[in-house]
Amino acid sequence: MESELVSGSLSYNKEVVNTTSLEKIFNQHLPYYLAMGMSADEYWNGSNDLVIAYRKADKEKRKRKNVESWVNGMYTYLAILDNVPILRPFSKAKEPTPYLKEPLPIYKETKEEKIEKAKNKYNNVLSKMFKFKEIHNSKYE
Amino acid sequence: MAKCLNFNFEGKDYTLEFNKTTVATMERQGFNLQEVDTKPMLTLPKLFQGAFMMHHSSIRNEKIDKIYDSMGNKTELISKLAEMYQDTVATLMDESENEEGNIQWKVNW
Repeated sequence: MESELVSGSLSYNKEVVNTTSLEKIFNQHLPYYLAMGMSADEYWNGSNDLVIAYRKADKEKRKRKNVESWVNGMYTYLAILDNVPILRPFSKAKEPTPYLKEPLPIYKETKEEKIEKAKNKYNNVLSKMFKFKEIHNSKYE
Repeated sequence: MAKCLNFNFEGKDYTLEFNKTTVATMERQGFNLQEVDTKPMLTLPKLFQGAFMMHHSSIRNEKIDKIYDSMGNKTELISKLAEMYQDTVATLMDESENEEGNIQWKVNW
């Protein structure tokens, strides 16, 4: 018998596909992984572990999207809260509470950032005290 | 890490592995892992040959037969190849099945 090469042809025949079991399972799962961003080449010809990595990556993506939606909801909630003073009936407030000056912190502050923040707060209070002193002293001049 | 089998034969390194394309090709060529118990003499050489498709598709069957004859511990070899073959579909299963909290079961055979 003439020796033959190992690789056979992989022409796509629908009738043949329907009669094979594992190939049918592979085809059934293909759209799921394509939707995750996996290419058809990676799915069919890549390492078997790649599908596991794609599933884990998809899980992380969903978690991140969930957190982003939650933060977005938090900003909406705070914006509505800021407007409550002027929305209440018989309220004397003429303006809403100012919106957040900076984004909500999503990372823990470093030691240096904490020190810088405390310094700024101290300097703000000090400058207000000096201003008050000037105003107060000017009354007696 | 993907399951593969490495060895050296006549100065050349070989890697045996299965992917979905090679498994589909083997099925089209008539291979059925379920028949390994009823038709071992037909099934086992095909399983071994199929493992070359992914990384050594141009190798000839005669060379594969020669390599197979030289391999030691054939029982373990075939068991590992079967595991690698089944891994192509096993990896499609959700890993949450392996998480803690699930009932641990065992068979008595």
